[in-house]
Amino acid sequence: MALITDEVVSQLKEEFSTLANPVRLAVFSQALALPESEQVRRLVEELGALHPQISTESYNFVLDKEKVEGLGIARIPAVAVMGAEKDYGIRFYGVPSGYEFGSLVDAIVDVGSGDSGLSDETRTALGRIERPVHLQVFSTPT
Amino acid sequence: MEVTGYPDLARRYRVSSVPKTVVGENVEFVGAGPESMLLKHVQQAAGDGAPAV
Repeated sequence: MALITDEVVSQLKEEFSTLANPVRLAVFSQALALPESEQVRRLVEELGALHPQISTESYNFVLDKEKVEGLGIARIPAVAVMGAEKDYGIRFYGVPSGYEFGSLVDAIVDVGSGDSGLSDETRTALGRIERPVHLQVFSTPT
Repeated sequence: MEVTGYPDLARRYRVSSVPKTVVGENVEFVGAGPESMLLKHVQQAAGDGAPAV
């Protein structure tokens, strides 16, 4: 059975219709250790089927060490939302359900449109920052 | 980050209300705010600009 309902599928297809650039979704799971991480893999694969600009890659957290380290994946389930050439550093950890699912969809749209939606003023200020800054947003499903 | 699956992180970053945003290791705020506020926190965490209010 599909995880994304038909109603949501049609909404998502409309949202994704604005995707101008390719979006890569890399999902990291481990069925044996964490069964719910498999749900996330299925969810990501369903998202990938909704638009030709979205491609998906599935990795095993234990076996695919090179990818895990290359993308800096710290735990599972994890989803990296990337452009074709550029990794913006966007990672989702945990099961993206409820409000988090909306955030995941927003991240796909931001990457695929190539526009973060930030003002010019903010972009200029951020451009002056000289070292990497790690932002973590914690949420719960409700 | 959906935190229910990661009690270790919830403890480490003292997540009691959500959404909670942690910038770097020591700058944090709860809830949503304007873009300018987020920028201030990022600048503070980068050691660049005025301290966040």
